[in-house]
Parts: sequence; structure tokens; C-alpha cells
Amino acid sequence: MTEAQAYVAWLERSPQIGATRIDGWRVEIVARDSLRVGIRDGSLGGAYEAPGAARRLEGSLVAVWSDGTVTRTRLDHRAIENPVADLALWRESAATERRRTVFARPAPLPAVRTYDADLARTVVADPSSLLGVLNDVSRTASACKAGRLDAVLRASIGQRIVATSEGFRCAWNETTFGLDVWIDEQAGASFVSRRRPGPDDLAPLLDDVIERGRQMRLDETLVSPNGVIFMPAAVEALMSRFLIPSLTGRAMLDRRSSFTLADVVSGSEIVRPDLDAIVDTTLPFELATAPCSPEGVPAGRVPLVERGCIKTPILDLTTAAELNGQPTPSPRGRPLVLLHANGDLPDLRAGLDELGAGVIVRDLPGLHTQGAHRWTYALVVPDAQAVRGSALTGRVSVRLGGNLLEHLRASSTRLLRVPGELNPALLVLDGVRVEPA
Amino acid sequence: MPRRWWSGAGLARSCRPPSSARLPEANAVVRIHESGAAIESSLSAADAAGLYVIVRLQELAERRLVVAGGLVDRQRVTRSAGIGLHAIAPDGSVAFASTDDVCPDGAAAAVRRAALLADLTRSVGGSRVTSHLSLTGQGRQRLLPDRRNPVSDDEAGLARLVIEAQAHAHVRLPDLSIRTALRVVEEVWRIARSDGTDVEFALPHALLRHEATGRVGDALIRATASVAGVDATDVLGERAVTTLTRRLSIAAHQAAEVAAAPLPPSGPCRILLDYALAKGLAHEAIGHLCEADVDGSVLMRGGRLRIGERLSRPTGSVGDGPLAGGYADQPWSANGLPRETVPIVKDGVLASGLGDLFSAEAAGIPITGACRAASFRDRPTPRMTNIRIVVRDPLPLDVEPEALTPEAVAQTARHLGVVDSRVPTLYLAGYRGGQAQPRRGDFIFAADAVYELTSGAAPRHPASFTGLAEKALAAIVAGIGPLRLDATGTCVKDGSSVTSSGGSHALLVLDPDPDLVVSASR
Repeated sequence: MTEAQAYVAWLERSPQIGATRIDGWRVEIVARDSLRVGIRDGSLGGAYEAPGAARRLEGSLVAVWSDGTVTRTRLDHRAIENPVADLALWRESAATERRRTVFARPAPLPAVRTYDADLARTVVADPSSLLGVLNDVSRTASACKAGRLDAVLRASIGQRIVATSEGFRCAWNETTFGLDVWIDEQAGASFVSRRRPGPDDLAPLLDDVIERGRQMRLDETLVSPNGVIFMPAAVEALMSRFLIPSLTGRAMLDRRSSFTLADVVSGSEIVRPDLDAIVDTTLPFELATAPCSPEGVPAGRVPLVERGCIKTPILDLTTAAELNGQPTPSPRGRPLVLLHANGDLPDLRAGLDELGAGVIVRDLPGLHTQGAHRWTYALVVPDAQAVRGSALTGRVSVRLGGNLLEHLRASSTRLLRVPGELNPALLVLDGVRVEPA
Repeated sequence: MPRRWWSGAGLARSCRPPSSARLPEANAVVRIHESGAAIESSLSAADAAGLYVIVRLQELAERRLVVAGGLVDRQRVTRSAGIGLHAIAPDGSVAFASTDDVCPDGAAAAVRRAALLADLTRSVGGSRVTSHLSLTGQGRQRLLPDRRNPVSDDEAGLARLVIEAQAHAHVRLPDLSIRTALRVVEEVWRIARSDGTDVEFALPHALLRHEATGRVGDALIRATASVAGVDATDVLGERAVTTLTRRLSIAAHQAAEVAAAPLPPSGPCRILLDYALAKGLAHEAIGHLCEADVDGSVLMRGGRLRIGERLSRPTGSVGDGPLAGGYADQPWSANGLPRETVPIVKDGVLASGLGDLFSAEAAGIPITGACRAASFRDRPTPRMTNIRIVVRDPLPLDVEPEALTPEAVAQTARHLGVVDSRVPTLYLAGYRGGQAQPRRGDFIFAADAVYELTSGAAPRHPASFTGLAEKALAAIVAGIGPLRLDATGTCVKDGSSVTSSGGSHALLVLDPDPDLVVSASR
């Protein structure tokens, strides 16, 4: 029996302190081993990028006591190994909450792919091969006479369990792999997955980032920009900053969203009618993917926005019960949300042709400072890439301003297909302000 | 690698999984002194393997309580503990390991994993370090403050005080929904090195924060305010609650005024920053660029800080250091060295930087004990604690700083003659987080409210303030009023999130510069 299973077994015995016992509970426990290694300015390791190994056994617990009070706590290694140790502290700190906590009941769980045995073997028994991956990156960059190289590689293997007092049980294995590469601190690219990348994954990524690094060495000036192409990572960042908080049911109930429950009931059209926004926690080997959420909501693919209209808010179990709705699967990593358009999407080349002159934006520093409820942003992007004559050129620093909701409503906005990416790029021609910075 | 950092004005978050906790009795919660066997075990294992180690043991107890609509919405308690360590082989190859298994066997196993990785590093010709060789043992030091009792030892009592704090604000703002969050953290670190150093220190902090939301016409408005201190007593006392209500009232009033206001004017402006935004400027545009590990900073040349170069008028200085009793106080570094107060810019000249054990020499500055870590899982890096901009001979302020409404700022600015007759003069208030990019010194931070002071205090749409660090430093012309150093935030660097604080005079005045831009979108 693992420590996590033993912990669940202890909860099943309705532990009590004095006359008060734990009547209802939800627990999530993860045991994980992870490795991290980095390259800084071309050299592997050093104090800040030293190869590192981490071992953790941790989790979270929600416990409802027989007097109706609730304890919420994170579990650390000691608490999991010795459940009784913190019982008195939890009992003392229990509080009466304004909403009744709801726990997941047994439900069919979809089969999803979260575990790569090859990656698991590497993390456990062959960390040198991960250093080998970084060495390959370094050799490739050097052979291509790329500039300064920085990179971080992370890999992990874990076992996770989610269980509730209502009889929900789900345990699964998971792996993660992440590689971030930068050239000259300006051009960056990432591979994140629950599987180990193959040569077909890393070679194009490296080719792209090295070529872009070369292009970005040239300082460009901004000339009569027609608009912006937000690459998929920037699109997801914008959606995560503005769309997701506004579509959260609890925020609607608490009047913290720009949308209301009346908008949900009436299916208000909020963006262009050919657009969908989807949460999907079933995608093979994506970080978002798991059989269930920490609450025990089964994995699934749920449209939040369908044909431009609000289809459903994002609901946790408690809010779903309050609103008589279905709880929403909760992504455990990227992609947090998917933007879809009906019909075939043009590719990036077509987008560049339509843009003519403008910038490509891959990263939006400072986006977290923008008021999520207003949908507007005014940012400086030091490392945008200039587009001139429909061709990618050098680095340009720009100030950007716009409103995501307006972008998604504009008929001129295009979604562009990007190979290897789940989210599209977004070509925005109207309602975006682009100025030199 | 490109340093990835940003800061926010919200509740401090740890880079560990989100957690919070009740603090009953500190001694009952934080048991770091009981973990000596794990420390001893890791030192012994390192010695046996011929390694030099820096071992960091962290114990954390957190309590978070959220009140909405006068009722407890959520409460959470957490305790956690773990060990992180740097292991350095005789040839300087270095590795890192962490574990939450704080027992002698777990600690020794972590050392062995690090030893294996150090060997691998050597086999691929990885970077080496030598700076630890200059360290001398400082013996055993236990620097724990006297225990400070929380306001109440019972959950219901603490919840009642938070509910009362919310009610106090609700009386002033009856049309807004208010969420109130209390976070109290007791954090103790023990840092032990192979040279015999064994330092133990505490980093207690507490924050009480209101977030008010509502509608003005069609617009959703949001306003936040917070007070911070060492423990719950500091933030739930009558004076703190009164201060918090006043701050929220001013912020909410401003949010309502600017919600449908015109965009601020484009082009160069004279700018007045409230002290929280001035802290943001110091933090993003100056502090981060002077952290010794940021080898690509615009304030460096060839990897070394441009010490001795003039950056601002002779009246301007920027300093960073622990502020006893402050929200982000850290008297010792995560490598077991005393943290110094550093004059980063002295009388307008770049004088020093934030140097830690592993990067200070390369940056051309002394080791100032500047490294911090949010968690035992993090590799410590140079970080700020309390950073402040100080202007010599500040202009007088006739208003109590906590009562500075936009109208009072406008009157003060006119009275002192700091309203520019040639370009618009803008007052920016309400820090909402920022980010810096070191290579050119680009910074951005957002203001919840903007007022044009050319004629009265005319509301303008919330905006971002962007620019280049060197231009911002050179533009500082005056400070108005006394120093206010209690602005708080969260600083995230390379994924590690620590508390930050600082400030400046009640108002900081910047001259117009084409590279300092206030911009907004509708």
C-alpha cells in the first residue's frame, strides 16, 4: 500500500477528535520525482542552473466535520506519513463557511494519456540522457553559430490520487517534460508535453529558434504597421488573462465578472459567431490532461463559448450544485483554453501576406498587470519581430494597445493555423494600436 | 537565461502549491529546531562524499481566511517543511537537490542524489563555482524574534475580526461587494554550511486585503487596498483597519471616477507617482537591473555593473535593505550570510548592486547577502527586500499622506509649482503590478487611476506606465512629503515568488521624457 493509499484508508475510517469526526472529505496526493537542468550563457550547470533533483510527497485535503465546520489544508510529507499529527490543529482551525462543500461521486472516467514509460525510465534511472538532450541542443546551436544560448529542461514522474468520502477514487501515473530554449535572450521556443520529445519534435523547434535568433539580431524600425500577429502562446495568454476570469461562474455570482448569469441563460453572443472557446482535458500527453480535476470532476471537452455565444460558465462542484449546472473539467496546465474557428484556417504564411507590414508577438510581458475585467491592454513588447513586405525581419520594440473582446468580434481578425500548436495565431488588423517603443 | 520576473500587488504567493495556515502558537507550529538531526545527517553525508554543502531547511505555517458578504468564504491552514541544498564537489561542479522528507535518511538521500548529479555535471564539462571557498564559518546563530501572539488563538475570534474589518469598509462603500483576505505566515529558515555556519531566522509576515467590485453604469469597477505587518495583530488592530478602510475608500472613489473617463493624453508628460507606484518603479526599473545574477542588464557592461556612472540628478538615491518589522524583511540570506542595506544609487551615481555568493564577483560588486528563496525547492537568487527611492530635500506636504485624494494632490502640485505649463501633468495612483526586461531596461507597470492635473484633478482612464530604466532614473526631479516604505507586493523571478516592499516619498515627481509613456486602451 502506498502512503497515499494508506492516507485514504485512514480517512475512510472517519477519524475523530473528541466527539467530532470527519464526515466528508476530499483528498488529492501526489508523489513525484523531478529533474531540472539548465544551460546559462552556453554553459551547462552553475549555481543557478545546477542539475537538480526534487522529491515530493504532498497534497491537499478538504474535511467537513460532523458539526458542519470545514478544514482546508495542504498536506506535506509529514502530514501524509503521520495523519494524526495535525488532526488537532485542523480541528482547531475549522470554520463555518458560507457555502456547503460538495464532494464528487463515482463517475465514469475517460481513458487519457498522461504517462510515457520511456520518459519515466529516464527520470528514475538515466538522468544523464537528459543532460544529453541539452548537450545536443548546445551542439546544434554552436554548429549553427547561434548567439548566446540559454535553456532549461525539466522532467518528472509522479503518481497521483484523488478520492472523496462519496466514493470517488482515481489514481494514475503521470510524466512531464519541458524544454525552454532562448537565443540571445530574445528568441525563445518551448516544448512541453507529458511525453519525451522525439527528434521530429526538437529539430524543427531548434531550427526555428536559431533562425529567429539570427533574424532578431537586426534592430528594425517600425514602418506603417497594419496590425499584429499574436502567436499561439500570446493568444493563450490573452485568453487566460481576460476570457477565463470573466467566464468563471463564481465570479459571475459575486459580480466580479463583466458577464452575468443572465448572459449565460440567454446565451449572449460575446464574440464573432464563428468562434468557439473550449476547455479540453483529454488531449493526449498535454499538460492540461488528467483523468479528473483536483475536485474529482472527470476529464472532458467542454465548450465555454460556442458559435460566439456563452455556452456554459466555468463551474467548480459547489457552484455547479448552486446553479444546477455541470461542473467543468479543470486543466492542470497548458492549454488552459482552446480558441477554435469553424472551417479551415489559413496558415501563418497567408496571415503574413495579409498583414503586409506589422509585427509578430510571441510574448506579452506585463500582461498580468492589465485589469482582467476591462479586456483592454496597453503593453510594451521589447522583442516583437517586425514584418515588412509580408516577410519576417528583425527585432523591434513596440507599444501595443487593444481590447481582446473587440479583437474577437472584428470581422477582419483571422485565426491562423500554426503547425505543432493546438491554439491558433491571431491576426489582428483593426482596433490594435502599434507604436514604436 | 533571460530572467523571467514580474511583480504583483496581490496577496503574496509562494511558488509551492498554494497554501495557507492558521497560526496557533508559533512554537507549536514551527518546529525547525527539532530538525537538527536532518541537518546533521546531510552535513555528515556531504562530508563522507567529499562535498561542500549549503543546506536550507524551511518550515512554513500559513493561515488564510477569506470573507465575503460578511461570512467566511474560505479558510485554509497549512504546515510544510523541506530541505533544499547546493552540493559542490572539490572541483567546483555543483548540483542541487530538495526533499520534503525531513528526516535524517531523507536528508542524506538528497545529498546522495546531488552528489550523483554533480558527477554528471563534471562528466559533461559543466560550469564550476569557487566562491564558496572564500566563506568562513559563522557558527550557530539562532535569530528568532520573540513570539508574537496572533490576535486570537481561536478561529472564530480571528474570523470575527476579519468580518468586522470588512463591515467597517462596507459602511463606507455600501454599494460595492467586498472580499477580504487575511494571510498570516510564520516562516523559519535554518541555513547550515559545511564550514560550520548554522543560522536560524524567522520571516513572519501578515497581510489584510480588501477587494471591492461593483458597477458604475455599464462599467465593472474594481478597487483593492491592503495593510501589511508581521502578524495578525499588526493588520487587524483598530488603527490598521481604519487605515485599510480609508485606502479602499480612496481607491474605490478613484476607480468609479476613472471607469468611463477619457484616455490620458499621449506624448511626454510630467508624472507624479504615488509611493506604491514609486516602489514599483524602484523595484522594476532599478532593483532588478542591479541584481548580480542578471548578467545581461542594461546597467551592466561586459557583465559588470557600471559602478560610478551617473544615472540621476545628484539629489536622487535608491537603496535596498531589510526593514525590521517590514512585510518583506529578511535579515539573513538564503546562503547564510547577513543581509546588508545597499545604496544602489547614491547621490545620483550607481554605487552598488545586490550581490549574492555566486554572482557578486562577476558583477564587480561585493557580496551583500542579497539572495532569497520562496521555498526550499528554489535555487536562491539575488532579490530585493525593501527598496526605496529617496530624494534629498523633499518638498513639503501639508496633507496627511494617507488622506491624499486626487484633489489634494492637484492642490499640492499647484501650490508647490510642480504642474508643468508646457506639457500635461499626470498623477498615477494604485499600483497593480509590473514587469522588467533587463536587456534594454524596459519596464511596465499599471496604475488603477490616472488624473490630469493641468486644471484640477480630471479623471483619466487607467493606464500603463512604460519606459526605459535609465530615462526614468534621470527624470526624477523631486519628492514630496515624508518617506512611505510600506508598499507591498509579490515579486516573481524565475518562478520563485517572494514578498517585496518599499516606497518613496508620498509623491515622486518625474520630468517629461519621450521614452516615458503613459498609455491606455479602451
